[in-house]
Amino acid sequence: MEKLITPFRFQPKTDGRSLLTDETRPIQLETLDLDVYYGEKHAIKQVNLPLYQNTVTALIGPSGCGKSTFLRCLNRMNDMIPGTRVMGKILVEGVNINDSRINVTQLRRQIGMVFQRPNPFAKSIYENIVFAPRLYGISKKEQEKLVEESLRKTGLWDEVKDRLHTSALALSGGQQQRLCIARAIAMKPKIILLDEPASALDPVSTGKIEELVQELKNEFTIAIVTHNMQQAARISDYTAYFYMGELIEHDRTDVLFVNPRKKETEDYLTGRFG
Amino acid sequence: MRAKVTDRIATLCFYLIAILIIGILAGMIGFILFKGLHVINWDFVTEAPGSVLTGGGGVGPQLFNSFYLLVLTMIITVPLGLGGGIYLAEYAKPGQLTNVLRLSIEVLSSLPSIVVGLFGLMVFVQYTGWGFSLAAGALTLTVFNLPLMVRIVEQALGTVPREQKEASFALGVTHWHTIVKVLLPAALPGILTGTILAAGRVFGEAAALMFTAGMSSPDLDFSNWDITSPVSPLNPFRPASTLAVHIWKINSEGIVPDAKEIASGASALLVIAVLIFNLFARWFGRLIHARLTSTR
Ligand SMILES: Nc1ncnc2c1ncn2[C@@H]1O[C@H](COP(=O)(O)OP(=O)(O)OP(=O)(O)O)[C@@H](O)[C@H]1O
Ligand SMILES: [Mg+2]
Repeated sequence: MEKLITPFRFQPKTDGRSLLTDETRPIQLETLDLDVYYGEKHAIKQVNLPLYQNTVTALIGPSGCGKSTFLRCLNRMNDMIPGTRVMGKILVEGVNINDSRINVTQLRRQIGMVFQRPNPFAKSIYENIVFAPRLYGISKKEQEKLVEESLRKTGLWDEVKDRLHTSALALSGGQQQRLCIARAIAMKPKIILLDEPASALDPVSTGKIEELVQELKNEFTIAIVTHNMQQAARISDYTAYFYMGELIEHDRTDVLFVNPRKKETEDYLTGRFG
Repeated sequence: MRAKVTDRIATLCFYLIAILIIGILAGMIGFILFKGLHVINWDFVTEAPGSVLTGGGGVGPQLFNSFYLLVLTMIITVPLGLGGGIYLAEYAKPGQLTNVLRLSIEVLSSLPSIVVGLFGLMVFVQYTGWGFSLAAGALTLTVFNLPLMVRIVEQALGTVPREQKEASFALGVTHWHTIVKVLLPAALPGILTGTILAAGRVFGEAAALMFTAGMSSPDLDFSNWDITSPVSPLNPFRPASTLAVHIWKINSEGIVPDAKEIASGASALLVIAVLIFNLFARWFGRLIHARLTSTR
């Protein structure tokens, strides 16, 4: 990755709605005055949001408020959508990754993503995991180790170890989603972005994903979009509330849920809102 | 109640149409086989045609030519078609150039084959100085098949779910690797069906080949593997009449005494060849697809 060390640490605008300036944890990633336009549509407005290392940040807010859009900026997936403009800075370890000089494929190796609908490749379970790592050259032995390790971490190993070479599409939805997470962590990223990973799953599978997220934060920094308030409260350390493209409030989850500073947040949390 | 009746009638109509199609197909194949099957024997399939005076003989070289021309054409068409289709599906930016390209492909694919044949005569036969030859025939058929192939590939790639591409991109896989390792394997069944369709046109085409690959076949020595030798069946610069052209020629010139018989036999043979090719290609495609997707 290109080194674009910024000469001074930006002091993000703190007009009361974004930053926890009193946090002591190191910041893994932060956005500075992030704006996103889809053509004329202003989908993200001046968002300043940090992700702290080895924590889970939940992104909540009503449908269409820009959660997915925000998440997709962080690993530059919005590059895939023609007509999208992303402005502002996204700093990862002092490097602005929202820069045309950044090698996006390298970046995405470090910032993995899991989507709402499980999307395993139409390949075997084994192939799903080693497919991407192999393109960067790893030996057969390492591949096998990587497969076992990733599947163990996602709790899938015992369920699938006898059919590693059969099609991943034959797995249940929940298993497929955990495979997608396994596939993402096999790349050994620093950050994992999850966009409503459990919304298409049954309660048992959802529970497993939640547990998994809790464990994964020891190794990775996690941002997760969810529509489920209880889920956000259960699994996240920080919560960011978005509304109409703006970051309304960002705080520690235990604080935000119990004692939101903004009226809008409170209305949303108590369901008094749309 | 009314909806139910309408539904019944519509269902009935569709059944009738389906039966009609199957009926026509079965009738035609049955007719061709009935007329020609008794002509076909080992000699007919392997021997060269007899002389004009005696008649008799078979269509061995023509059968071989049909398959060989198919292989030559596909060797040129498939890579070009893949390239064009991948470009249009994955790289082409919307704009004037792409529009012109698409329009050209549309026009090219709607040209009558006789026109393409005359074009081939001018360019691949006369301009290159090759004369009537397999190479000229293969290139002409490429002109005629390429637009179809490009569209098949583009459409097949277009049907691969967007999620598959996203998944691959999100893992830091490059666009090129995503195309080769994710999109093409997923698009394979569609590409294969289309390729078989395009290949079928090679078997059936006569108009575009008469003026390019020629209407005669030299005496071939099937033990000669030197592709530069004029009597080698593999020489791409020798003239070659295919089965379809041969059928047309015999039917229209018909000097040999047993022209009718030969034409019927050759027609039946052509149908059988197409069927066998189809079944084989599908079986092979399924095998590869199963390999790539690990479904047994
Ligand atoms: N490709 C696009 N082109 C134009 N507008 C888009 C595009 N994608 C999203 N939008 C718009 O941007 C806004 C934010 O969309 P986004 O998908 O980020 O919302 P979201 O918070 O993830 O919603 P949900 O909870 O329903 O997933 C919406 O108004 C949406 O209509
Ligand atoms: Mg969304």
